[in-house]
Amino acid sequence: MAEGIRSGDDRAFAGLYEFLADDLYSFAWRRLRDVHAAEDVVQQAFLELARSRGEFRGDGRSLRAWLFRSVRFGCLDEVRRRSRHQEDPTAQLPDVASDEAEAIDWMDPILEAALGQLTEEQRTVLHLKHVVGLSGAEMAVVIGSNRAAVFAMAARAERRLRKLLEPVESEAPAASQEVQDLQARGRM
Amino acid sequence: MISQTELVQRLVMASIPPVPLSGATKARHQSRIAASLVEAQASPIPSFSRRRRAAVAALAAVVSTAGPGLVAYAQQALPGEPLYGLKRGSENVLVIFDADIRARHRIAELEMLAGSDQDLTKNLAEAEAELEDVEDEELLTRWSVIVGDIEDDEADEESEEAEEATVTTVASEADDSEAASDEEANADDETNNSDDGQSSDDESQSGDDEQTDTTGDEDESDSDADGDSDGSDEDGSSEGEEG
Repeated sequence: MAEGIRSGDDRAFAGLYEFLADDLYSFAWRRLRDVHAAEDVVQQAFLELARSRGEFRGDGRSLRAWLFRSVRFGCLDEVRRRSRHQEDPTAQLPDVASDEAEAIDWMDPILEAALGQLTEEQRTVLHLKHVVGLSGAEMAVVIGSNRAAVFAMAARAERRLRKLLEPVESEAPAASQEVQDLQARGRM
Repeated sequence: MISQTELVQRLVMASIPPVPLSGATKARHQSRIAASLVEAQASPIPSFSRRRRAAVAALAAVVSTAGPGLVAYAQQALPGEPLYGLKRGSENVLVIFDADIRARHRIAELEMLAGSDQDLTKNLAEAEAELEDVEDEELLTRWSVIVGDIEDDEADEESEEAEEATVTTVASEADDSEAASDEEANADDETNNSDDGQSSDDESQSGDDEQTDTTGDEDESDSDADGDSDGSDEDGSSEGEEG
């Protein structure tokens, strides 16, 4: 596939898109909470790859890592763009469709609050490791670090997240039950 | 503490977008990508070049000077021990081309030192640098575990220190309050004595306590305070001079 990408084969690009678009979209949505912005960021990543294909040196895994890295930077750019337009209070808010609003209703608020206390890199590593299943080498490319640092970062993030989740759930079982009920309704 | 499985499940659940990428959106994206393949020029892409290994042949001189026996003995040394430098030097010469071996040594050392009182910050940084070229994911997982253990130990030490500090503060506060209550009791005694008219000098020395002890003899204490505020000092000083 990597050779097809380098040579600009549109079937190779179509196959790569089919293989990765959903994971990239989920990754972008987690960061932006905006389905339309997430779609745009994913498209931009593939367009960037199409422009840069001649210079690409790597295998299929490198391609996947490269695309996640591109989406991550796209999301960071989008967040910066939104923060520059803070004078418009609605600019920060995602364009929430009705079905999206319903989904937010059953989100895991305790987990969201805990994730909010991690760094952007820690959240990224947790997502890439546990949700997408990237290897250490791939995560290192996405984060722009080495594998050892990424593994250590993931370990720290997991421990921190567990500690953040623990007191909330033990001290407020009623709230936790409420979240579980919300999640159960959302899954139905 | 929640389990790893539960943590992963919750992370996965929280990452499901409310609206999946529709077929129409995918078709639109693919169309744009295909068009860009025709139009766009290739541009530079971030390279994934790896760190070049440094040449350390000069360290062979260290090994030859020390002798093979000492070098072999030094392999058991841990960070902080006298022969540890020799171990690192010989390692660089003997296994310079195998990053995994060096990294394995660093992790084994950390595993042995974890739980000790030694500050392992520098050792962690060195191990992380050694692991940069390591491909063995099992080794990297082992590394992440030991990092977590050491950081947990540090956090425990910090919380213990904080707890000790709190206990000390509470103890000193308790001592202070005991001393204060003793003083108060003394002041009460003195006030009672003064109420009996035994000594106007004592009354003036415990003026602050007198103000708080307003029960029962308000009129009397007010009149004393007003009337004797200047005079009591004079009385005291005159008595002191007399003494």
